[in-house]
Amino acid sequence: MDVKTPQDTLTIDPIAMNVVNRVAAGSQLSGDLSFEGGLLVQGEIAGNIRVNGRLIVWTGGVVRGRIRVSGDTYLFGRLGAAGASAHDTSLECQGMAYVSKTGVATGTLMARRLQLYEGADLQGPFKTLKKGDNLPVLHDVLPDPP
Amino acid sequence: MKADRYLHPDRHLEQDMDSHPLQPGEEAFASEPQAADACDGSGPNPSMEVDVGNAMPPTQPAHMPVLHPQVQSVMPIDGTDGGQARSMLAEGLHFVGHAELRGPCSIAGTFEGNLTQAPGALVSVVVTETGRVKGDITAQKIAVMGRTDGILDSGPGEVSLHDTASVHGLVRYGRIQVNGADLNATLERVAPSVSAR
Repeated sequence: MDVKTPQDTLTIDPIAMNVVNRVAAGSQLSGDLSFEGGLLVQGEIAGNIRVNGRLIVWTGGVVRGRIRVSGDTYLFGRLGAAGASAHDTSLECQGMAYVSKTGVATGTLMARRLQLYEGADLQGPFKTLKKGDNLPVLHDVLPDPP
Repeated sequence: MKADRYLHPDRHLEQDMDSHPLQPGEEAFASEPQAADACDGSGPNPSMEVDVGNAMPPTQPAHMPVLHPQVQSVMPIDGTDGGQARSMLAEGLHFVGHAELRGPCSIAGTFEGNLTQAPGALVSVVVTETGRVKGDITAQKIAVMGRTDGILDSGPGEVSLHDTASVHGLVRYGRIQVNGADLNATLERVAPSVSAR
């Protein structure tokens, strides 16, 4: 019944991907946060978050709130709290969003492109950002630096 | 070929210096492709090979299920099809109305209305690259390469949205695969019951 394709493996290389920030497992961070360079989330992070780079949400990691990512997003953990409404969490990704089979997204996910692997659990609304679409949907997240 | 964006590491240089003695030419690792194994283990995380699940095969226009009899062998014909003949809405045909399906179906033309699987039947619907559907599709297995506007309801079945797809509306799925489709939809997961893994 199924046409099986080989299992895909993503190689996450923090150095090549310039992932210089990390929220370790067990750590919790919340508030207005801005990250220069990529961010690896293994703990929990919430609030108005801007990542100028790639965002990696590791298995077990949770991201909540309004998130803007200028690079790609890799979701192995959770986007949005369990049982929360899709409006509580929204992620705007200017790059590609990869949602692996362990990824769970209950928030709104906006990305330029989406790669969703079989088994991924996507519950909320999803929207692809158009190329010419220059108005960031989450404009109000954080004021742009002068 | 070189990933230029890694060659201007001003913003992360200090951090990197702490843990990794930098060679004079940082390009040495910066220019390596992302998948380079050489860097594995040197980052904060030991195991960086992540199994992400099954990917979708890329759509190959040459092998699209369009009007050629031999595509029958190429297309992933559903096991639930039971060898039934495939219904086709050919490119250029604009159909308005509702259809009840008992066998697999390909839409290469324009379809306005609802496509529903007959009670008790499990069918697969393929919307090819030229296909346009305005209305709802209810089928056990839905594959979209063209455009749809409406509800895609596979119940606990499978939905696959290929990179050429443009899907608006609601998607109900048990299992889903998306490969860069233009999507503006609400996704709703249906607990698998009939087609449990």
